[in-house]
Amino acid sequence: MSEQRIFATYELRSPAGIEGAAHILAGEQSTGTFVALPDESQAIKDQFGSRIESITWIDSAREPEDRDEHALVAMSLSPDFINGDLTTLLAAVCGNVFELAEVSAIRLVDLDLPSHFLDSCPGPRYGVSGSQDLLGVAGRPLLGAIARPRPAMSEIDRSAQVREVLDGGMDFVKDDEVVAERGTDQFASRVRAVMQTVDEHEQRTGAAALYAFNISGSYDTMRERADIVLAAGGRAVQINLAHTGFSAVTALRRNTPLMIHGHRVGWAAFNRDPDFGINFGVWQQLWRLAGADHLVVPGLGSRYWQDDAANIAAVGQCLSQIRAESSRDDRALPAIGSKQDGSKLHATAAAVGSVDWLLLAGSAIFQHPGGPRAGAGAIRAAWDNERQQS
Amino acid sequence: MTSVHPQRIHARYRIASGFSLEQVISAMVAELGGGQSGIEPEVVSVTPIALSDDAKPLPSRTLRPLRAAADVEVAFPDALVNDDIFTLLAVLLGNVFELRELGSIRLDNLTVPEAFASKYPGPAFGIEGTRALAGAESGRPLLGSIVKPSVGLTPEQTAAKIAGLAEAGLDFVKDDELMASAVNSSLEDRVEAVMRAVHDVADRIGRKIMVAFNISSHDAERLVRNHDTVVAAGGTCVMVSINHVGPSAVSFLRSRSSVPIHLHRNGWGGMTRSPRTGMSFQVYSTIWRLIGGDQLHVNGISNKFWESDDSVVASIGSCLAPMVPLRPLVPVVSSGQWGGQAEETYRRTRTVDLLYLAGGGIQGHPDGVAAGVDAVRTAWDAAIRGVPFADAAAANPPLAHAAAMFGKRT
Repeated sequence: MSEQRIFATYELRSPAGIEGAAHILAGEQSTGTFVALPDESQAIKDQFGSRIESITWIDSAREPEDRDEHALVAMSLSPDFINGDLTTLLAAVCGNVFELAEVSAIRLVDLDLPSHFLDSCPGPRYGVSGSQDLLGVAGRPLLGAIARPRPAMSEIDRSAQVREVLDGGMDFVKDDEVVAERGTDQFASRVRAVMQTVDEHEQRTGAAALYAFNISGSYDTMRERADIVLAAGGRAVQINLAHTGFSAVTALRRNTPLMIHGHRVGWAAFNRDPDFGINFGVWQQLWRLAGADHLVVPGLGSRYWQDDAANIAAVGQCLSQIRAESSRDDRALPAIGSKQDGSKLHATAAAVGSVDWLLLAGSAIFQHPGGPRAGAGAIRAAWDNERQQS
Repeated sequence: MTSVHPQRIHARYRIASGFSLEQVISAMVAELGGGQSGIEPEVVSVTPIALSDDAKPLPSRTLRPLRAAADVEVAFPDALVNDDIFTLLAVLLGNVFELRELGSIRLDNLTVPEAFASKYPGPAFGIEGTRALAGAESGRPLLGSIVKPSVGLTPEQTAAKIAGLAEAGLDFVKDDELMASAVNSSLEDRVEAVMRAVHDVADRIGRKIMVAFNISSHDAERLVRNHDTVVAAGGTCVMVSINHVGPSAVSFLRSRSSVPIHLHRNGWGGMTRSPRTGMSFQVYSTIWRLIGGDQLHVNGISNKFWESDDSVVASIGSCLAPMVPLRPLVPVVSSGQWGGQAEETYRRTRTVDLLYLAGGGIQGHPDGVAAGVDAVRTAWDAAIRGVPFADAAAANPPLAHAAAMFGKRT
């Protein structure tokens, strides 16, 4: 038994007392229930029980009358029942523990997974360098467009639009996260039309390009659509991670060679309140382990709730190895979206400290007065011009 | 409150903001519809509500003190969602929750028209199918247990435990959600040992207990292979941790499964406990009923967790509410149960179409497992016949002993 243990750190607030709450948490996420049982033996507890590793007190009453204790509590869990499976890991670290009566706030803020756990998950097939290599781009950010308008896409012939943005200098185009596909046949004809355009562009210019088709659906539908994309020569798909789930993403990663553009839509719905849910730093690691190559994060001056510092921190998390000593590259390419345009490229590169990311622009391209080609060209020029000046 | 527009999908959000309602609702509509004419949701009603004194806003880079709150009901045009539940999720639970103008946003209610529900399979078995496979008569809840300790037992120990529960006459038993495939209890070995024991007992007593094996896996194809392993061994139920396995793989399983699917909601607390964000169980159960499992966890009266009895009663109602043309879900009542809660559960819900689970309450009973089962059965029988709990316990020592042991705790 006993390879290295799994560490999970929670931020807890408790009117009943942190130490008592932490003991109940340990039981709930391993061998215990609400009563002691005759066959919960010491041997079982020793091998499978969760342990409280440390309690770090925080002094932060929210109001004068706030009597809740507040602390960071580090737990360690046995790998012997989690056994390398993401869904069992989550049942333990993000399962019924979120229902504990003894806490008024519980958030998973950090997860430290041992290398044997990492090895049992597929991880990204392409990630940062695989994406850059496939597109033949080095020394600048990858540039991408979010196809507009968004829904009922199947009814619209995208080919002309795709041609324009690729001619304007984009490397990558992707569907919106809201697609409302009208059946397999329509999806197939849309994919074939787009891929024909992409192929023509590659032959004409010698520059590689990628289109990520949104295939979010039930797993059998996703497999069917993945096969359609592959048959048409496509190499990338988009998946709404939170709404499809770990089992579908892992299985697609294992069973297809497609690049997985992971959309984080839905993350905020359960994680925006700092009292509950899990930190983005934990969340993004889990999806990389399942096999996401790209992760969408908002960028500088986005239209959403997080500030620039939080968004840049999220980019940095995607670009950090889960374990520094890992030989496998498990970084994901941050796909930086939400109100992005060419004017933000250099500021983003400076803030991130690298060009290992993908810019995603929507309105800046498709609402450009000169049309999508001019909009794409303006973004490409913004990068090239400023670099020449500096 | 929800007005009747049977042709469209309706969603009701409870919001609060430091901006004017007009401003924030217009931002919501733009985000929900992608800022595109023709597919924007229609605001059906806006019902202002009083801001509570202790309401605190969600974090936002443009944080302002809250000044208005409201229930906002929207209806979606067909072209936006196009009968696709994954698109619906991307809209309903999508980037609208990221809007900086919102100080709180919670999805409280979802109704879908019959035409939408008809596109989805819903529960394949429901209460009747579950009863039939478990050999349980109607007129009472299905009674069950959870193998405890949650993790650590070997397949042989698990099998012996389940044999004891089956001998005692239980209808149902399930793996804990933490027990999937452990180093000392692979699913394959556990299924083989448990089903051998189940069939031995069934040959003796003439009834086969339903065992929900936890087939959760982070690989959708493995999930379905696990189901096949259970069915090949004669198993009659599979359990999935739905929040972690996810809707895509559960939908796939639903299309392949030949036995009831037990939907374990662990992690749900993280999706609903904040009063400022997340969603209600009504929404959650509507989504999972469409995707199509059979039995969904709802917690229990006087449970060991944070949830109030009112919330549990409402959840049972959501599982059983009509949703033409789909079957109801079987509410799975569990957590800290030992029989003492039967009276109140029945008084408040007036239904026996439940799966009532006692884990520690049966396996921790001072007189043993058979007495634990007797206590739970006696308590439910009394509740249905209107016999007060005290009278039932006075006439049945196992129930009296259970009350003495667990009554103060819960």
